Amino acid sequence: MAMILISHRLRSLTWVDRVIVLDSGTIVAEGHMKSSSAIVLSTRVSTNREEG
Amino acid sequence: MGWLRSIAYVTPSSSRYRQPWSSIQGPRGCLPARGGFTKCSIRSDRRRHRTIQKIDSPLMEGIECDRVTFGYPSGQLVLSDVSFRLKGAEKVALVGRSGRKVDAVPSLCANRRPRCRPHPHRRTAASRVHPQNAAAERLLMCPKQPQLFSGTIRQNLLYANAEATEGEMERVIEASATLAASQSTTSWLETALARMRWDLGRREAAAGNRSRSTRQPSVLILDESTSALDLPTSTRSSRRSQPLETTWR
Repeated sequence: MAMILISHRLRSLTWVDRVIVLDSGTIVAEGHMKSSSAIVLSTRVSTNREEG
Repeated sequence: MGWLRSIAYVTPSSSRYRQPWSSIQGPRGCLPARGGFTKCSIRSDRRRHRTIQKIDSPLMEGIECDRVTFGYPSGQLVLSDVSFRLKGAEKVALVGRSGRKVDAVPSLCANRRPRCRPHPHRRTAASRVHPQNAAAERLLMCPKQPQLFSGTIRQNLLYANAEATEGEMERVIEASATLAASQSTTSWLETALARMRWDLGRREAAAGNRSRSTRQPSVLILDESTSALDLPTSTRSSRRSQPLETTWR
């Protein structure tokens, strides 16, 4: 069974295969939380939250 | 304008689901049918503000979005050129700032407009009449706001399937990640929701279990369905969201 999770808590997503960051209707980042791209993903989401 | 595509199984019994969609052009660049698979498509028409779904079979394997653009007639753009693929048992998380319509993609996949979150078990008249909505039936979406009615957990589970056996209901309860250790399965089943005055987290857990027990979906969409739980419990609950081995359909 495939699964799509919608969440605002990045720390709870360490077990998923892939994380896709959406902003303004477009995909701005994509990767795995365990890889080095996690830093980029966290930065993207944090920046979005600060702007909001 | 783009296409939301899903791969579907082909079974002999699925022929009754095939609809005369000759007036609708098929998506370009679809994956070739392999083995027992064929395609099922959802087209998002931004100008006409509607979602058109073409289906060959009710059983789906995954979802593929290829340059999907969706917006409202007022000019508000919800999705712009979004492409991703979800196949097999893959787990994908969609994250983003609140209010940025992160749930638009799964909402469209479930044949629902964004921001429209009906009861997960409530079958509308349209879905009963039009078999092309059967693809959406294989998509199970657990919404953010759990909807339970007053009564016991047993009554809530029987609402999902009136023919559920005692063992099947217990299996559903055992799959719950938030079941208190001191509480037996039987007592949990007989718990009256109104009397317990559960918080949102408990209600979310109960609604999630009921959703998973209704049918065995090909794609499970959790739309912040555990947002009211604490982080460890939320993670544990999401990870255990596997299809339950029941006879429920």
